[in-house]
Amino acid sequence: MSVDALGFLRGPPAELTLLLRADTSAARNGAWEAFLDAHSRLLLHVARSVGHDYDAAMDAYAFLLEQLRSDDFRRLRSYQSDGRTRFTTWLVVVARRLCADFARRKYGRFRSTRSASADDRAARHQLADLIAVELDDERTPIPDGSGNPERDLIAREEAGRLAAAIAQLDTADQLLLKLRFEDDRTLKEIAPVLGFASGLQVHRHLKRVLGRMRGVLTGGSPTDGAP
Amino acid sequence: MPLDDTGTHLDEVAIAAYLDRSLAAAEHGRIEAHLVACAQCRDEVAEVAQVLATKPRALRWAPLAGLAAAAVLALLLARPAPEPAATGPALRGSEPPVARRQSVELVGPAADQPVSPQALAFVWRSAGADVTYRLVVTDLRGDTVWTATATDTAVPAPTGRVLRPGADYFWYVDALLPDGRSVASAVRDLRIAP
Repeated sequence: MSVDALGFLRGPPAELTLLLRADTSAARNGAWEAFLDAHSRLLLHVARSVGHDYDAAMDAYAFLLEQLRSDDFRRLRSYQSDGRTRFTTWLVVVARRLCADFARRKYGRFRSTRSASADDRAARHQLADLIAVELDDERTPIPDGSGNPERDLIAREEAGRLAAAIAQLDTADQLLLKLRFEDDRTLKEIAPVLGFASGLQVHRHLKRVLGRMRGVLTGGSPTDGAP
Repeated sequence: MPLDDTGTHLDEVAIAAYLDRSLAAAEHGRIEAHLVACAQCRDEVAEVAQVLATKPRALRWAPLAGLAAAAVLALLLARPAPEPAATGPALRGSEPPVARRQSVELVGPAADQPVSPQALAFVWRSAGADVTYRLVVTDLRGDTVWTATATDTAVPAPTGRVLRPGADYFWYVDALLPDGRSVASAVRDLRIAP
């Protein structure tokens, strides 16, 4: 365990260290209780985020605890305290995967909160098409299957230019567009993924990115999206 | 890039490290590129981020009872527990319950009011005696642009062109208290005048 310049401790939490070092049955039971004292509310929060209802969440929570404890805490032992991740973040990822496995076994499926329309949009439209709709540019007709060859040709050319412009964005901006237009995530949902403080900040940044895209379609210099 | 057993999707460490913003820039970029291409991983990252963002504030601090129990176990175990884990300063995650939690209150500059670099000074209210503060300024992605450490509650703007005219940033203050606990301020917008 190391300490940085301001004295912030890094490394596994004490309750995890003691749990994994406990070498008697009584010590393991006590350490497990201490671990649950520290993390059961977080684990329950994860189970509730995945469960369809209260009973499903409780079933998932019970399964989760059983899996974390199984095989001499094998999953918890796999946590690498090398500073790459906070233990609680890692624990949420592990716990959510276990709950998702439980849901698939019990209900035959697992569905995230991703909107139902997102699958349909992703299946039917390319990202460039979705952004063109957002830009609401009259010069960029969207292929509508109407059979108008000229319209479809223009649409394909514009979509090609837009796709090329998207490919030139840095990965963070490409990810932003994917999350917003293909996955139909809200700005508030996108903020913690990309490290923005709020959906408002995402909105401001997205305006700038769309301004650049609009500039590509107009063929001039990209605007910055400012009013 | 760390992948899971399928060799197709990100493993648990990659997802957690990406959300913790703890990766080197190159690795962060590789994972981000994977997320652009992989809807399944992108969905998982978004869902995990939502769980982390929506957990009740009280969940950010492990109850003291857990640590107390851990300390007792450390005394009972045949082998002594590692010194830092058993007797070191309180972990960042072990602050008292929400009702007694301290925080750092920011004073200025105000959010959304452009300020010129020449007139800029970061000011906050004291979190107590013998406190060390770390001021952090980030860009809109959360990447650190500038940090400063102080024992006073005011820090002048950085010299040079660290903060670009016309640009937006975020800033916040972390405080390390004498008893080893840490508290943080809210994140505030910072707009540099053109």
